[in-house]
Amino acid sequence: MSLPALQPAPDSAPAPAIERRSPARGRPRLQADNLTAYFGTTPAIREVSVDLRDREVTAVIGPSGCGKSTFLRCLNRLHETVPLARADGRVLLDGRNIYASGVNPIEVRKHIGMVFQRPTPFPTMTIRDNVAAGLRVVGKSLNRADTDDVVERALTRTALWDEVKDRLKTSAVALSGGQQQRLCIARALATDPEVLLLDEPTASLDPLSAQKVEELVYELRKDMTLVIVTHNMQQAARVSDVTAFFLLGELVEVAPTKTLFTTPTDQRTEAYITGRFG
Amino acid sequence: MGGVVALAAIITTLPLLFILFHLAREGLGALSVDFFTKMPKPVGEGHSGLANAIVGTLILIAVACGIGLPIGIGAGLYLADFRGSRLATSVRFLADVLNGMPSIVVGIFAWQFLVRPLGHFSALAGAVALAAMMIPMITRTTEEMVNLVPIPLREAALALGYSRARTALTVVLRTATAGIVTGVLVAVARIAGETAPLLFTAFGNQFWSVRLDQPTAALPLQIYAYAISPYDEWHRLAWAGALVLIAVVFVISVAARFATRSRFGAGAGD
Repeated sequence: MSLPALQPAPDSAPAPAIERRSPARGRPRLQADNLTAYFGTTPAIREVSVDLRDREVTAVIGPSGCGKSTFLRCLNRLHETVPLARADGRVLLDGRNIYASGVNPIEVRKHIGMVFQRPTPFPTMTIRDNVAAGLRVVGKSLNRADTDDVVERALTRTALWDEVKDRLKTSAVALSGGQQQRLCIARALATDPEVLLLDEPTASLDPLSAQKVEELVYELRKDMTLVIVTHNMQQAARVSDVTAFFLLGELVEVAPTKTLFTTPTDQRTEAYITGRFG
Repeated sequence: MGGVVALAAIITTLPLLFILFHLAREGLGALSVDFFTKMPKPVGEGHSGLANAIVGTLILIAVACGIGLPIGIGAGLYLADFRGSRLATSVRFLADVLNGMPSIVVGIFAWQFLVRPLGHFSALAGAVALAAMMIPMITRTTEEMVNLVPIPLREAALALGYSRARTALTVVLRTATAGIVTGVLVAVARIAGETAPLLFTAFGNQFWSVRLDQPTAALPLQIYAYAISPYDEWHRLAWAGALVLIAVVFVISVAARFATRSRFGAGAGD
């Protein structure tokens, strides 16, 4: 898993390359600082400040429409790709503000992988090409054998290798939903990002597939930073080290998962986790 | 009620069946190797064919595609990507108007801007007229097909660090390719038989010509010219020409059907 340091891709505007540094476990890797995101003039999240620490899983919970997905999409600057959407404030990746002027969002996204609610394999590509899709834009071009190596490692990491190794050249859409989702995780991991964002990654999966994805998330925290948005409080309790609770666009409370679910400090958090609304 | 609509459904296909039957009866007899390889000849000489018109039609279609495909697909991508912008809204409306424009008017446009300034009819002017008819069709099909590509798929590409342009070309356009190819083939099938826009652009030609700056023969023009002539021999050639033209359109339509199947076989959508 050692790709060369990320350089600007030839087809992107020149921007200062973001250096790869390695914080230790528990050190902040991604920090939101006074982050406010808008759709038009309506704020979807307001003044969110939170540290996401390395080698931890941070779960983001809250009722529908509370802004948890918007928050996640601000972390890799995907939010602003929607017409009329914009964000104010800072997000620091290893201390560098990814919203600073001169930072190319395309470069940012190469360092921060993302997985969506529904599996998004590219339907025109084979399984192998799907996993390798991100490699084409991260600087140095790899030869075929090196690419095959990276593909195998990414698929092994997502426990998919044994299931698909004999049909790497077939269409990715022939896989089951759960396999597609793990393929998408493998695709995000292939470029070795520092952070992985997961937006309700198990919402469209059957329980068994969901469990596999959860186990995977738990495994991945050994060597990266993960943020998972989820509707499912049991899931948050199972996979995360830290949980952040959003309500009406506001970050109400963030605490170690056990603390948040047993002794929340805010009444609204307590009301939500005991099922009084949402 | 069921009987009435079933009857309507059958009547829908009657013109096609009638045309095919009549064309086969009148045209098949006149089809021969000569038809495809020989040039038109004066009445009575025999062994005449429409080789120049067949080649002329192929050239016109090829040049029209060369002009129309990049512009049409590019415009379609723009409309899909900037759907709410003022330019996109106007272009979409005008493309729809152009789509419904009588083809003879499109021919007048090419005559005004190419034939008159250059001083003579030309294959290029004909191809431009045909391209002007293709472009709005391809633009709208491309837009619709691109809009069918799920937004999360684009976002997945952007999240991998793809630029907007790369996302559009390698993910969105490739996913929409089957549908766009179908649209292009339907457009080609439609312009292949167009006569009116060629009347005062490509004009027609009794001789062999593959030059773009010269008038060129085309199957629809030749069919028209022979059909209104007083000679039985030319009438037969016109029938054969019509049969060939409809066969070409039919083959293109079938190809369009096959193109809608994904590269990985049917059912590979979602």
